[in-house]
Amino acid sequence: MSYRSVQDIWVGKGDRWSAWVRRPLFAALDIEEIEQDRDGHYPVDEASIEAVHAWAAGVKTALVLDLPGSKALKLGLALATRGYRPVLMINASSEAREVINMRRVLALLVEGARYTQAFTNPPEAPPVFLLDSRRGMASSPEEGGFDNRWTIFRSDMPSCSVLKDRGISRVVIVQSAASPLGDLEAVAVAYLRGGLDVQVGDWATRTLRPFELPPRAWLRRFLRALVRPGPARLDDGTYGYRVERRTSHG
Amino acid sequence: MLDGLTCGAPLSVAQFSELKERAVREAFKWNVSDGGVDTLLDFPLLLTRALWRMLSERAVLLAREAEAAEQELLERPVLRSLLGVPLALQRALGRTRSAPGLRYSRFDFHPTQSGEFVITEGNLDAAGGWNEAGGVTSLFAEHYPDAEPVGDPAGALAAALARRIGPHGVVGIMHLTHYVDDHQVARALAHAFRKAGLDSVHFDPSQLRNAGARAAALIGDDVRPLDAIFRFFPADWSCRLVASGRWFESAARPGTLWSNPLATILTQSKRFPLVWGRLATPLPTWSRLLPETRDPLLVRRNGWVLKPAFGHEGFDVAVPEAMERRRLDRLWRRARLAPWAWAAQRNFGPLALATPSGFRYPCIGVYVVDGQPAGAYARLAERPLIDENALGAAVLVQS
Repeated sequence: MSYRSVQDIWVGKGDRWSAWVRRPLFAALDIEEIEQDRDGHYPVDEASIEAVHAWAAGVKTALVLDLPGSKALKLGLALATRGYRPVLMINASSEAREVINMRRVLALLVEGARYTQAFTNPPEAPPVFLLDSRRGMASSPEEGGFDNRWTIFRSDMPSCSVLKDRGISRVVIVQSAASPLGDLEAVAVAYLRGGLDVQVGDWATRTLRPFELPPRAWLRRFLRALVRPGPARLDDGTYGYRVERRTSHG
Repeated sequence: MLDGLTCGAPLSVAQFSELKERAVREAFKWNVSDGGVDTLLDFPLLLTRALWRMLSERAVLLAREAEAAEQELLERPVLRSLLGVPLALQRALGRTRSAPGLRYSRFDFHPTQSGEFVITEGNLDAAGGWNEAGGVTSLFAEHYPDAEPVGDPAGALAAALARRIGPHGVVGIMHLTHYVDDHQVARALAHAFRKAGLDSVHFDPSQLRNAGARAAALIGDDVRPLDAIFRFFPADWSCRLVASGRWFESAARPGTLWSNPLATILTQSKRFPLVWGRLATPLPTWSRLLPETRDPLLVRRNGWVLKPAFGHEGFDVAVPEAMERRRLDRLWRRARLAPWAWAAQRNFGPLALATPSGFRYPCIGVYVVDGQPAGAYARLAERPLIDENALGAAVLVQS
């Protein structure tokens, strides 16, 4: 299996969600190295799959798995057997001495591509978007490390109208934290305001609750300004002060 | 209609789809779509050779004049203070002059309703578009046998660096590594550097250190000395780094070549034209091609475009035809309160081009590397404002 075929399978030629699949990780695939490390054992407990699947019952639902990388991929691939289309949204690069270790995620990309049935659901299959909740794990990464933290921008996710056009009326964010990370929260707010039913599924307790609007934006901006550590991209993709990041969980 | 500028026929759906996949793999253009929408157009802009010659000659003159003005500004702190450059950076510029520089720039030419081309600024400090102007353009050229690329800026930069630091030299590519849109540029450049026999290191600005007479990058526990640094990080941001004092100290090491040197921030400022009248350096090409620019306190709003002195990707540029009144008011209010950070530029009446996708406002970015024209790529926008919503297009010259 070549890195090209791995990418082709995950992107899915002509697939209606392929435009949203993020590409940087495929460029970091070293198949030979991954094959040497391969343990081929990636279990996900059936109860977890059933719980998440149940949250999506009743109406056509898009799932957003914001869990630690390998957990998100494993669950996403397992959900593919329940009729979902895995969409890789991890917009991180991977290099030696990286701050967020992507080794397991890369291995799962290769492993996942072997389960071709995971990518053969009908075109109208609802998507399961795969994120990595470690993306903002350290506000001050270790000196000398390759900083591969990342942020999900609103423009990275399908818009409300795209989801609605495809018959999706509910979005369930599956996570281990009490509330979505700041960047994903911005996406959730947009979905909620756009008329979608947004729910938050707690992975640890297996409970589902409606997503609630966060505190007012001006107050958050003020608090963020107090702790700004340096320049980076703003939430909307422009240059400016570093975006808010919370510590890791899960 | 402009002489010498047309659009190529669009690629078929299958051809374009295949080209995008190759762009991802071969040109490191990972963001071929954004929000489910293509970031590239499916047709190139075609220039006659005469038009390319004119634009590239002008770009070279602009780069030459800017470098001369930059040298004069370095000697004149009072004028320098009018450009909106952060104070800490202004102070550091004197020290960092000891580091040698290799310059690259990109000038964005906009066609006007009067049939001319103007520029609205010079991208002299840190410019993007390397992947599109290099690898992506070559992929388009395969489909248009009567046209060819005008160059490969990354290849030209790699060759220039190899000439200056010698084969097997180590180039540090400084960029925000956690932002993949920037990292894809670093990867494309590393590929070009490798082809030129150079070694490269990716590092974040916060990893800059020094090693004797050279600047260095902290990689893991190793401090790796660098023969050259490609800075894909706007100089005005350096003041916001946590240890900016130490950073400037490293940037002043005389044994490392900088591309670009920090002093290019002086001519990058949108307020650069406000000091022309007091400079001894002649700037005939700039004067001819850049629309009139004034301090925002000295103009009425009608007929003027407002720009931050150090904006990026069209962010916060106030163009009346391209934004709602409320946002326009807010930007002008900010400019009146802090005029030293803004410039007002006369609206030059951009021309929309008939393209296969409808009427679009084009701008053609021409690269100059080490004093020579090195390539081009274009962006086309639905509104008369080239910002992050503009789509990229390959630029080919008709043979």
